[in-house]
Amino acid sequence: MKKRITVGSVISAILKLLLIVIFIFPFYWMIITGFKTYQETIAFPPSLWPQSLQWENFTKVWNSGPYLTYLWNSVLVSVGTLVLQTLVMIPAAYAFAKFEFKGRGFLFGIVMVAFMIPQQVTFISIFNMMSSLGWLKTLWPQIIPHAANAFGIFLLRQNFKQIPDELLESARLDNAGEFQILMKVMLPMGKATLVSILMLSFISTWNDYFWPFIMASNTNVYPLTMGIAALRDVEGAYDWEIIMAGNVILVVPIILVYALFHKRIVRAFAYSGIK
Amino acid sequence: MSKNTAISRPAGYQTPWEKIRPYVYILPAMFFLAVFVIYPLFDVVVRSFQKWNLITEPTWVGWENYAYNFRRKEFTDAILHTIIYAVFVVGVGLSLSTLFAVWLSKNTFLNNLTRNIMFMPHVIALLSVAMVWAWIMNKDNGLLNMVLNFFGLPSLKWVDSSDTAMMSVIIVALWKAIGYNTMLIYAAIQNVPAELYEAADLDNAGSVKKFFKITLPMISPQMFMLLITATTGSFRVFDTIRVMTRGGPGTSTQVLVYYIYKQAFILQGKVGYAFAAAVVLMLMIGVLTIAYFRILSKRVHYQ
Amino acid sequence: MAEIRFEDITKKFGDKVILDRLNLTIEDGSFTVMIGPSGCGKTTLLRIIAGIGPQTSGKVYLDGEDISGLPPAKRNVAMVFQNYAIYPTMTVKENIEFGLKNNKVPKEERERLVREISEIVGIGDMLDRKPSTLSGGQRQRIALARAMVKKPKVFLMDEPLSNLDAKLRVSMRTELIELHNRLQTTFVYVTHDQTEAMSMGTKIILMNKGVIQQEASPSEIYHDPDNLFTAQFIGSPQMNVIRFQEGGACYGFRPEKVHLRSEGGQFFYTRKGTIVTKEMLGSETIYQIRYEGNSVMAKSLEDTFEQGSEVYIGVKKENILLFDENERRIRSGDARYDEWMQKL
Repeated sequence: MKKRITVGSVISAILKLLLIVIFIFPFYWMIITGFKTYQETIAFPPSLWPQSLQWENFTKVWNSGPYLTYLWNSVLVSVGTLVLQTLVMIPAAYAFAKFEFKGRGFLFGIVMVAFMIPQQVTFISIFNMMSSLGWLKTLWPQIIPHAANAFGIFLLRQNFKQIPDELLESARLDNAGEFQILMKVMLPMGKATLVSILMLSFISTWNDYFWPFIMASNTNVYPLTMGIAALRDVEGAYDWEIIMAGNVILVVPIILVYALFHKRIVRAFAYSGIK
Repeated sequence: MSKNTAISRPAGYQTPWEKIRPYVYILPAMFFLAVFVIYPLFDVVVRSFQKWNLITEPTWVGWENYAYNFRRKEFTDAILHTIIYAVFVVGVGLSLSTLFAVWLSKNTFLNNLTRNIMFMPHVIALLSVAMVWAWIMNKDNGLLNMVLNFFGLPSLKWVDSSDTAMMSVIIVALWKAIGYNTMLIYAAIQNVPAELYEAADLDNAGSVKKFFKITLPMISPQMFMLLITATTGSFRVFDTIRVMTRGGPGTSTQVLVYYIYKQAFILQGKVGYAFAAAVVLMLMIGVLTIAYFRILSKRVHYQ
Repeated sequence: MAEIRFEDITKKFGDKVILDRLNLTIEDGSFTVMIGPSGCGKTTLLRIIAGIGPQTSGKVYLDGEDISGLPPAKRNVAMVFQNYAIYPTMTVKENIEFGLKNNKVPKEERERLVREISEIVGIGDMLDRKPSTLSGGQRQRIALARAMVKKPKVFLMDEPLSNLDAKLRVSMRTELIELHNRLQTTFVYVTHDQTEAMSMGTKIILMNKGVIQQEASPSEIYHDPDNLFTAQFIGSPQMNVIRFQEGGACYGFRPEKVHLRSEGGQFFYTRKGTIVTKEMLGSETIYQIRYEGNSVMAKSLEDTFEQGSEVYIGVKKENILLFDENERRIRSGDARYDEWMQKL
């Protein structure tokens, strides 16, 4: 049977292209605004391509605050959270999946409850805690409260549970210690899940605004999101080309990563969202 | 028959280390969860019954904080705004997403591209999404008004008018979430066995009938999960509100989380009200979550 | 030397008792097959030897040494699992040498052992491949090589052939027998397949509900069962068992011991019946015959009888086995033997 081009299929394709435009245009708009002059941003009709590329918008952003510090803080917080979560999550998931011990059901119940309690409920208490520890001028409040990733523990445990017990038993007969079993047998098999979890964790920490908004008390500990938000917190008329240039700095790395790894990223989100 | 267990020695022969090993493995996780989730949870509840200015000793005031909150229109409005926001974001969002997911369910190049592009906003910081839309919706030089004018329509004030501010925030939330929801529903549809559709073809069922009699029932567990996570997620909205409207104009877009934040951090010494409001938010989310598990447990044996 | 001795072994899963104070000795150098219906405790016993599913109480001795509390790796045993338990993320070679590496065997020695053993089991040319690219039979060989390379005192095998197709199973059976002859170490082999048990075992241990029913050589267990369970479990089709009118005892005879004649005569036990079904299997034919309210199977080399026709069945006296009301065998020396035989 030959494929026929019908009126319906043409309309459908056009509508899909329209959908693509709706979802991609704001990004495009962000990027080209970031390269425009102030006059050009307020001109009518708007130009779909900047008359000249204003690279100095980015220098202006960079010079309007300690952006290198913000960037560095974002990296420290994202990577620090990631490393800490990994160290905490792997042994916990292993124990919940493959060991039998008194109170396992109850303790795992706590993990599940923790997974359902949003930070928007508990943030004041955690803020007070950080304040009384005298940590507010450090990056710790942005890292430590996220050390235990309840959802990650849950997902990794599910993955570990699917690994047949015989593999562990066989490894034990092969004189492998528990640490070796974890590193040589369990982790290689749970790698895909672990990478997915860490990818989600990294993206959400990198993008987070609410948590640093509460916990970051001065510009020394601002992550990039806070720095970008500060571009707009000045009173009076906004320079949209500067704000957009700032957002380009925040967004473009993630878009590039997404363009490269979209299959993996989508699978990670879809997998964690459905189960 | 064999039990899942990593303990391989008879009880009498185990070393103390072997006995405590699983507890040691979970200790870091349980410690952090206890300190940063479970304890704060109790703390919030206890503090919601106290009057406290963060400095002096708190005093017990019973239900006073709750009573204060509920007496104020600002608070009940915040609940109302939260619910309106959630209803639109979830209702419109999931309907559109389902439509798109079905429409884009075939694995063609254009469909895959469309789905992947729609998904992109989900990996971008909500902060940036809010900022770019604030610019697009700018009342003077925004792109959206230019488009409206181009078609001969009058400009809107978007987030600068209490009539349209909530709508603007909802549009942004939809734009951010639809691709993600579409992708999840699409994944669920992919898991429906193809034989069901083939059987329906043999029974001469039309595509609308196939959707309502096969697709929708088969993906309803995932849809239901999505419904709950999307709703509780909407209850937690903060970033867009903070960036685009700061709860305004007036209090027209003030949602619960923003109210809590304001009571705790902007209006000094009213932290008790914030705690009480946080408990209310927690109950709203808790009730939904429990309802979800109740209903789900009744409907799991499905296929 | 590798003799395994169980002493008062008890195993419970929660409240469920799987093994209750079991005593057993597995002889050095034997190919011992443990067989029984699922849930009978045979795999549990194997896991107790390996140390991966510890006993609740009781002791295990290997060559007289108490190994009850030793971790699996210290027991000098190797195990082949039903699903092979090949590490999927390691290559064939890494799989085989994993145990050697953990035991700090020097590299040259390791290389030599891996090469030698993989040649023996016939996987020498696939050492660098990942298990996912191999067939079931090849994975089976990796599992064998992994066990052999450690030169253990005891080989434990948990239904290792059950995931293979029928043809491969038969050839692997022969290979395992050859392997046992070559190594002369103790093999403990768990299966639910009586053909495997009969063909490979030098000793069969038949278990049911955690209790050992009989422990004997294949021919003994077949010709001289201790009890009704053993008599019925071993043999295909099952032994025909008919209960006496009163007294609770019963008698049995194997289908292949039934002689079919168109006329009655010379046999100790002769009955006239009707052929209900006939299954032609090629070299032999299985008839189902009904008489006096009983239904018995007969295996015959002749296929001359037709369904529906009348036939005389005959069984020799020595081929009739008697069982008492407790389903225990009444042998010919027993006082009750003649008494019951006369009732036939």
